[in-house]
Amino acid sequence: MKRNTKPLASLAVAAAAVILLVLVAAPAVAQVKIRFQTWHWNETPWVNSLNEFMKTFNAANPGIEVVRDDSRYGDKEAVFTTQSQAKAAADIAHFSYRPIRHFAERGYLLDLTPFIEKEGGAKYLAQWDASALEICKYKGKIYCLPDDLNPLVLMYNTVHFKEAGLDPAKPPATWAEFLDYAKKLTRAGRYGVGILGARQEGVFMRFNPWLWGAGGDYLTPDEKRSALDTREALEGFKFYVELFTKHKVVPPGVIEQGAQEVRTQLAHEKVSMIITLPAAPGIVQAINPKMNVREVMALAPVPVGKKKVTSAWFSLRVISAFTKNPEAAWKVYNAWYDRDSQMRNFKIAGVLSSRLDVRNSPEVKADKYAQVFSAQTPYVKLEPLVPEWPKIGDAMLTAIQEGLTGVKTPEAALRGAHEATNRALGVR
Amino acid sequence: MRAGRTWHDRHLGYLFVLPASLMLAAVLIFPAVITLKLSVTPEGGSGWHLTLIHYRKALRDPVLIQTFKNTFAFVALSLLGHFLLGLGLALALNQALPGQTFFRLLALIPWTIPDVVAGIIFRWLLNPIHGALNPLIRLVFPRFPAEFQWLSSPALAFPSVIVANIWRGYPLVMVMLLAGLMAIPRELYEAAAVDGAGWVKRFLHVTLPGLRTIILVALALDMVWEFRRFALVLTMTGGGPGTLTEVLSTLVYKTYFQFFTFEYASAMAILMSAVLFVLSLPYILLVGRER
Amino acid sequence: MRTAATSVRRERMLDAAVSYSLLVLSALFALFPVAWMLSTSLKTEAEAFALPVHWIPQRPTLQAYVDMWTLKPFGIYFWNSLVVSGVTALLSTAVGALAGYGFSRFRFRFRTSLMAGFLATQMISGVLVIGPYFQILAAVGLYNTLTGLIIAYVTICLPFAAWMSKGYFDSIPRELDEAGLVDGASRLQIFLRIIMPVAVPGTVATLLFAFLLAWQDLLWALCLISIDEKRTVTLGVAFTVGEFIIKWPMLTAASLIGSLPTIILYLFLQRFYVEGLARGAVKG
Repeated sequence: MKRNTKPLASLAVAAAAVILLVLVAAPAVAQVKIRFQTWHWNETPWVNSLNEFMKTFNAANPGIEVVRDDSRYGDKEAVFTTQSQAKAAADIAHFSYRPIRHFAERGYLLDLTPFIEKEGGAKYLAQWDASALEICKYKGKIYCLPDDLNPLVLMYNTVHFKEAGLDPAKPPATWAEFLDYAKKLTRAGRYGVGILGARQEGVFMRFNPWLWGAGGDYLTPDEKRSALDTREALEGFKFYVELFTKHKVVPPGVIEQGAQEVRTQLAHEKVSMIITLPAAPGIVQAINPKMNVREVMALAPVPVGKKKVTSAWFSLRVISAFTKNPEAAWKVYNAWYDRDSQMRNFKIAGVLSSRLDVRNSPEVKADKYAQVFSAQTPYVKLEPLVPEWPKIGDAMLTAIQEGLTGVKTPEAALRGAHEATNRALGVR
Repeated sequence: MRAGRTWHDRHLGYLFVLPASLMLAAVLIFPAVITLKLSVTPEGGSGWHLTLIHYRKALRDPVLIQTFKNTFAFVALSLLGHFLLGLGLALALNQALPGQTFFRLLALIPWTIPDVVAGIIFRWLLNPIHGALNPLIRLVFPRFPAEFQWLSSPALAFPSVIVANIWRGYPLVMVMLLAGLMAIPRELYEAAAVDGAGWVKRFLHVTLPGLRTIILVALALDMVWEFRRFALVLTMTGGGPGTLTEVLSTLVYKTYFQFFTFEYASAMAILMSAVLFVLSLPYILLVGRER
Repeated sequence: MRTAATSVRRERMLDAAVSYSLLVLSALFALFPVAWMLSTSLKTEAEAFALPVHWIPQRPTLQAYVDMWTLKPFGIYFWNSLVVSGVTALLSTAVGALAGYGFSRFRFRFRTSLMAGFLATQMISGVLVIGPYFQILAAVGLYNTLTGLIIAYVTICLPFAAWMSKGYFDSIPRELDEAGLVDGASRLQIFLRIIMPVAVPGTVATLLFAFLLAWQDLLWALCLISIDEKRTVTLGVAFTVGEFIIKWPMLTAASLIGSLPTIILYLFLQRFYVEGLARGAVKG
């Protein structure tokens, strides 16, 4: 035995040395770092605003360093979940309103109530749009402040309108007009409208105005069962998928099209109209720097069916329950939400704050695009906030893809979503 | 030397195997046990109140059952493709023809491409308007439709994903089979040739028997990997159209990270591993038996 | 006699013809997607969307490569990937070879069940263990470190490494060990100084396998690493795709650059690879 121990020991030492070496390579901890998660890191207008914020804050607060924590839109919730389970998430994170209650329920979010009390309680909160703030309240606690709330609008290429003999000053106001315009705009190598069919969250925002506009809805008013079996829901669903299947005013490959693909098609003049975020002009400009976007592109309200309604891009930021520096995190958080930052975010990125003093400021009121989408705020409707939403939404995505590709008839596809929704809600 | 001759030797064996065993236990087995426990915990619950509700639900879940079928088809067709293409190429490369090193290198290239990249390339290649496949087909068949849809077609989405996966995965099988072919002594072929055996007979009586073990091993390993294939499907179709290309690993991922039903997702993952285990039992037994 | 010789020659010719056509066709199949990537990566974004499709960029530009390199710190990503993949390859080969030697040369109790158990761990899918593993890592402070990634990859590679090297060791005559024992060397000395040097081609196969696995992984890296300084190349490539960013030239450029090291590695090592597999996997 004895003669064996020496080489074994040396092997163990070598292994330990290797492990130690790699451990040393891990970064040394410096001052208080606040990890600020974003998925906008590669979008020129949005990331510029964020970088500007970080620069300003870091210069004014020597003890704290805000560092960008880049994440991907598609799996930001997955990453936050795993990291929260390990109690190591980014200090401040950015999400749409959808997963907030889930995260709160699982204990991943810091209750902001004590900080808000210190800032002045109700008076402090009164600075925000009250209905938007409701999303942040859960079981008597406040888990976030509403960030940008952007009603979705129709964006169209005025040059294409003129080419098709349409008046750019008179965008389509009704569904019938919309369809008519789309057909007239469809010509060799170009399609009237770009719609989304990819398996991503962005589809809902662009699909919901049709579902709701026809008078349909996901759930019954008591939110206990599916309402997707109504005639109205079917009408809205059919209108959306038949743009592609029947009227052929949408480019092929529709279920491969996500939000950015559709914006890219608009930027490269492959489509003439899209339903989109108000911030799209800046993104389209970044995709195609040669286009004079502010001249060519115009915004209009979403065409009206039976009901005047639109959906919204509504995002908010949260503080992780596992932050090691709650005080510093709040300081950064509060600075992001102050008037100057939110105004900067509008000026650079073109997004609309849910802070009332920013939304009602003269700068916003005077802007060519902002005046259009800001006026749509009263018609905003959000998806149901039931905990089963991810499953319901997934079932709807499946139905949309099935309807668009003809795997099923629109009726059968929507019935599938109806049944899946009821299953998710536990309806017998 | 007779193995295991002394006490000393027998126990030294454990020492050699120990580091690997410890790592496997810590990184794979222990977490798997935690997941197993999660799969018998009520939703949002903790402690030791156990339940089989998630398994009962899983066995009746139409989506899961459909996904199992998809996965079996995905694995079986990928394996078939890998095997046929891999064997054909291995036979061709084993002839010591001029330029064979060059061709061997080319044939290995898809293997160096990460899954996620392969998914992206094929999505771009199959893009109906801007992709390269449609114009390529039109070079040969000018009457082929210009904006033909692949991934947005219910009939073609699944085959497209399979072809992409065959492209990505055949080199490994090819290399293993090539290694097997090189190990078959030339004398056996020469003897068969002297006996007047044609190539069919030589293939059936010399090549295939010589390759039997390596074929089994290659396909078993490949099965395990294809069963867990994740990033390729996710980047190429995300499971669509509808759920036509959904496979188990993407479904588990979705159930866990998008629906936040950790317990149910764990039950699915356990079922998935159990099925995979049963499917690869012949291989485990073969290797476990003294070779 | 003459006819037999002609028929043999004719058969050889036919063999060669069939082989070459198969090789050429499959080379086209293998290369077409990569060539298309290369072509796209040399285009401007406007040209990538030009119709009809340009097979060869009209004005080739390296702009996409520059953009990719400035957008994200790919230099750091490369370094991280090299460290992670390199250390993973070395460690998993070393630990796997130890186990393989143990399985090959010793007859201890539970040996076969342990071997089967090693293989059975391959049935555990990553999705199944990644959550709990992450919690363990965070508990010991290895979250967001390359070490955490390396430990995971090494372990994932171990069953294959152990099995490959066992097969390879089995093909090495035991007389070598015998001779070493007679000379008074310890088992470990025999392993390190006599057997390992002979087994080099076998280790190349394992090294490559582990290197490739670590280089190409996305799932683990995605969940275990969230800061730029620790990201790997494949993660960096995946990061250039998202809802808001699909710049095909840049994406294809990143993909090609990300695959380059593994392609080069294969260029140099593929000969050993086949040889190692032939003895490790086939003879074993």
